[in-house]
Amino acid sequence: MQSLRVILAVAKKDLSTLFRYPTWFISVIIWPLIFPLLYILTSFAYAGPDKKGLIVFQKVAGTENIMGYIVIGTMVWMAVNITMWNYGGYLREEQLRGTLESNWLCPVNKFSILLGAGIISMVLSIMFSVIGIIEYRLIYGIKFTGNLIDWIVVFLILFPGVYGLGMIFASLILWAKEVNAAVNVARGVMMILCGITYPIYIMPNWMQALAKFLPFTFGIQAARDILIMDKTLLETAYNLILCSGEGIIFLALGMLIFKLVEKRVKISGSLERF
Amino acid sequence: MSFLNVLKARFLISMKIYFRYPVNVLMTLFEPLMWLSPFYFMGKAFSVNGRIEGFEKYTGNSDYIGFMVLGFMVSAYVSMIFWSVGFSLKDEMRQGVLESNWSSPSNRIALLLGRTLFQFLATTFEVILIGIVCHFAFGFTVNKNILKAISFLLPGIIGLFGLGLFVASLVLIAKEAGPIVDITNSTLNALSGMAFPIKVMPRGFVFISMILPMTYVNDSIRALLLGQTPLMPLYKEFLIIVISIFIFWLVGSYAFAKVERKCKELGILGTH
Amino acid sequence: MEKAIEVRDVKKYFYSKKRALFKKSEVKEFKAVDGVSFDIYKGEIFGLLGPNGAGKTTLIKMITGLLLPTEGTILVLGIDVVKETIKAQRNIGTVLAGDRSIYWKLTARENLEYFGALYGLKRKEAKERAEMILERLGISEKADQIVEKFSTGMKQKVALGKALMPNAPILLLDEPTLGLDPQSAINLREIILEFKREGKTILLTTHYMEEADFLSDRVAIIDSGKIIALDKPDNLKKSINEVKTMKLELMGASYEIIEGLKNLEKVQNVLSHYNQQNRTFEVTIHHYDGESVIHEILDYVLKKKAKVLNINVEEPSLEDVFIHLTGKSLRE
Ligand SMILES: Nc1ncnc2c1ncn2[C@@H]1O[C@H](COP(=O)(O)OP(=O)(O)O)[C@@H](O)[C@H]1O
Ligand SMILES: [Mg+2]
Repeated sequence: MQSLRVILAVAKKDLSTLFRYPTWFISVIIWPLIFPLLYILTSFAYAGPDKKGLIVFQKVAGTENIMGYIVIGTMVWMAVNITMWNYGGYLREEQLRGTLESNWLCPVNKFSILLGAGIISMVLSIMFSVIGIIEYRLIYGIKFTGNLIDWIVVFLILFPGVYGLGMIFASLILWAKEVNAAVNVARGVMMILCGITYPIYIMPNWMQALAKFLPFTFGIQAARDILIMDKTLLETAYNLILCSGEGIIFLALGMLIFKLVEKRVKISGSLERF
Repeated sequence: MSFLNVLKARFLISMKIYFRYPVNVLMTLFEPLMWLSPFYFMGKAFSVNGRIEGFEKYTGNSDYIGFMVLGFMVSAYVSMIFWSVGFSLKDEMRQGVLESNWSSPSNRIALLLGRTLFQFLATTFEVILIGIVCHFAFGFTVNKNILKAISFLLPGIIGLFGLGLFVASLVLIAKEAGPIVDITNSTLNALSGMAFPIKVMPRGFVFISMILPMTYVNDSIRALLLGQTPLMPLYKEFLIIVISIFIFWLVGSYAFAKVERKCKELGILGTH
Repeated sequence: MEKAIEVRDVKKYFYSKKRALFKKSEVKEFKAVDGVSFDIYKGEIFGLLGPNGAGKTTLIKMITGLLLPTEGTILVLGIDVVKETIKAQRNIGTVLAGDRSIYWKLTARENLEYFGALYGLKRKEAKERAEMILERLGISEKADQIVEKFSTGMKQKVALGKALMPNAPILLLDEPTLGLDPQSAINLREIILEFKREGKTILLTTHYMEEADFLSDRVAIIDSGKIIALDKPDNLKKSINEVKTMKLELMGASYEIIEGLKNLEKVQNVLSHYNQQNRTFEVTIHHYDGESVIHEILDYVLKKKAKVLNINVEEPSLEDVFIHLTGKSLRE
């Protein structure tokens, strides 16, 4: 009960700051539009002026709807990216601001503060996705399949992995301070392996094997099955289960690392601002 | 201090900062893999026996790998200009040294150039690394027209420095310049055909592309190094690139002088 | 008397790795707190006086459970801070040094309500208590403005208000008047005295000797991680009663001349400070015998052709106690 109160208080605090300085909103509108554009236009180039190349693409990817195929990949990538920067950098930002210690000396389980911190990233990811989908439908004219409940299920399935990864980074940053490079590598690895613009079967076998350790690989696949290939949840159950299963492992790993780092900073005293 | 001394001092400082973080160099090896993989594997998804017929119709051959790697290299220079010239000023404002440096008799533009010149060499170093990494990862190769290609690239970059001055003025007046620069930089790269032949875009955009000199830099280099079909005869493209140098420098230094005067009047240097 | 806080043989060592390329990295040990024991009784103001870097903040952080002691135990109302951190934290309101411990982008009220939630107050309780505290600290008019625009003194009040939210019996204040203008500092000291009257136990760190003297029932003087004296301020001052303090303001002197003062018999400590604006040296001399040594000092100075602008013979302050014990000044 106390934890819930803390989680909500943290979320309320973050959200009121967020909405007090709403310049970020422009990014929410613009980025979903331009980010996939490079890939989409490149895919047009590959398809050729007469779009005959799409037949080749369909043979490997299972759909001709290349725009839909790409925007789903980039949408998931953006959600992960936001969470990595926002949530992954959360504790570090509190630390730079000087407020981390104030939170840490309160009589609460510190993990609930971390949980509360995730809510703002969740709100942002939802906003990016919803606005993205609307823009893709209206501006790019992409047709999506499936119903709202299916879509929500897909979102929820991706959730543990995204937050687990965020937690891992949020904790590690406290310890190592400068992990910008690590965040870059992590999102880069995801960009390469998870098949944002292509089916992973195109990659060499060893890369496919690596990709299967990332829940997002299955999450993107599931999202495509539901949102553009008109499959049912049951038909893509394999992807859903692997995505959430691996996600839960990420989450557990995040909790573990947080606990370790929490102990470590108490010894090294590196919570303070410097 | 003379112009050259300032240039040298700036240059050395930048070099020290750069090599203090060896991670910089490692990221240089990784970033091309990260950004180009989605294009590379997507290309594979479209190819039959190594050929992409649709792509050939736009460019003359199937070397989509060379196409994207060269585009990525040129965009590295463009981003360098946008971020380093624009933000070398912003950085110094942060460190609060701007006003002291500023008021010294040395030429302000020397300050900018010193840092940017270093960035130019650093970027060139990175571009070479990109080439090597991409050779091994994607099988990127070029023919031996490299010198010719450089003679198209260099004037293009000199023109860009002029554009850099314009960006620097923008950064000086805008408080939150980061997102603006980020978006203009990405848009410019996209419109000048960094990742795809400009002809795939709707007509209106193609028109914008045709007035951007970077379009011709990309196009001519690809024609020379990969044997792809250029948009127009190369000598014409060269002419356009050279003319753009004058335009960029004229507009850039005008804007910079204007903004600088304004800042001094209002006394807002160093107050950010 | 009942004990509110017990600190037993507490040590805090920090280890830093010096990483050198191609060499084995060596681990450096730094003793920030080096074997400290004391008790704080319920209802008293306990002052921890020491120069920058003495280990005051480190000590406070160990008491609040932010830092783990390397050795030793700390009990807060009998609860072991290391073993039952959260339970111990419920009894403590803490203000850490600096004005950055609250959210600048939130209003004063939002800050208090937020920390109220973290201290386990229900929504309604938190609202009421925040209102009361804002009133009490005299900032209710600006309660709904963003903290960023507040003066340092006001920010410090919000930080203090945050520490009051749990209504805990113990308050830890780390340099509460640091960076405040004199008027705000006086104002804040009054408030601290009021808390004492309400029965709160207060641990306060400071490197201002007047503040320690004025506020504290008992003062512990800490230097280089060790407590070197602990008593009532008056007793501390009495303890060096045989030592007299003399302050000189000299013009045309040099560090050499001042060094020479140390060679005089019966002079114990000599500290100097060069005032660049006036180009004078302000010299503090501790000596034993009152009469004769003053003549000797003056003779010596005049012989060296320095000009005496001012002479003061002063009652010892806590600063003098510190100088007496360590041979250096608090402000260094
Ligand atoms: N996290 C830390 N790691 C290493 N050294 C530290 C750390 N925190 C404090 N110190 C060192 O311990 C000493 C005591 O610091 P502190 O307790 O902040 O002193 P005070 O509050 O009395 O000014 C200082 O020399 C400081 O540099
Ligand atoms: Mg301190």
